[in-house]
Amino acid sequence: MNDSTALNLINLAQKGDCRAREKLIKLYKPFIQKTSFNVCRRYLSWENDDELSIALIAFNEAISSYNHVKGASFFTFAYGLISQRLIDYFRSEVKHKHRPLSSFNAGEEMELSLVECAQAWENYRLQIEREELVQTILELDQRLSEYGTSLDELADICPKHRDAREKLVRVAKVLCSNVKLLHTLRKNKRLPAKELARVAKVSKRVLENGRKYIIALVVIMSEERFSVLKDFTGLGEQRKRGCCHAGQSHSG
Amino acid sequence: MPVKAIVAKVDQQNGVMVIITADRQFRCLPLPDAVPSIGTTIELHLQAEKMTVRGLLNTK
Repeated sequence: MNDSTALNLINLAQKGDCRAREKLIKLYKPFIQKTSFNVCRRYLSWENDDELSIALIAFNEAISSYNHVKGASFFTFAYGLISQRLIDYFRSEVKHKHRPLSSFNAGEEMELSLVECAQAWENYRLQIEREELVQTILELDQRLSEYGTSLDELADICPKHRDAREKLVRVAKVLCSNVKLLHTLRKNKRLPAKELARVAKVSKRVLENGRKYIIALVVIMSEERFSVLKDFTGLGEQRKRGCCHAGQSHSG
Repeated sequence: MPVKAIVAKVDQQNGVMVIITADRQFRCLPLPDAVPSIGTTIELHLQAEKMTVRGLLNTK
């Protein structure tokens, strides 16, 4: 099945066609399983693992909330949503594992085993998060190559001065908040310099010099799968404050 | 001033690594003795900005 057929099915499902929804879920069960495997890093079976149920629900949610106008492909969007829901699930499980310890009245040995279990679960969760971060960074490098740049090149051209960086961050935020400009960038893989210079009120020279740095920032800010890096670099602050960009990266 | 960074790439052949810092810099740095793996969060002291260094050198 190609992307346009999937898009047609998504449109039908969003209009209430249950058969289209079921067909999508049935066809993309392997995708759901593979995504869950990437997050959980272990083999999962439909019969025994709650993670797949969580992923299935997230996929169903992705069908309902996907908006192709935002630019991201459905599978990128679904991947992000499934990952997020699974991580939320792991976190809630960790909390759940901790809860009985304070109220547990059985023997000390049993309590110790619960502590060990919670510790092991926490270690497992950290390991999953680390592996996910590695995956995210590799995906970022791959995504940057689509725009003709790389992490190595960014290290060479990244502005050394804080003021210069902040100016380019501001430009990147302007670009992210403008759906039309963002769409043009994704389509042409080039900065819409003329329009961006006008909207962001900067000179074309600034854009030309910081072109690749801006693209890297936009990629990080506008795609849900890079949300870890967005938070780490403080680029997600605007969204937290409920600014104009709210919901951009969540809704595809 | 210390800054947190994520190791984004490790090039053992050339003895360098690329990091992404919390203040949005992409930097290429020499590998330390204990080579970090990709995704590791490290803390480092980056060189002061050029203008600051120049200012210090030119101050009588």
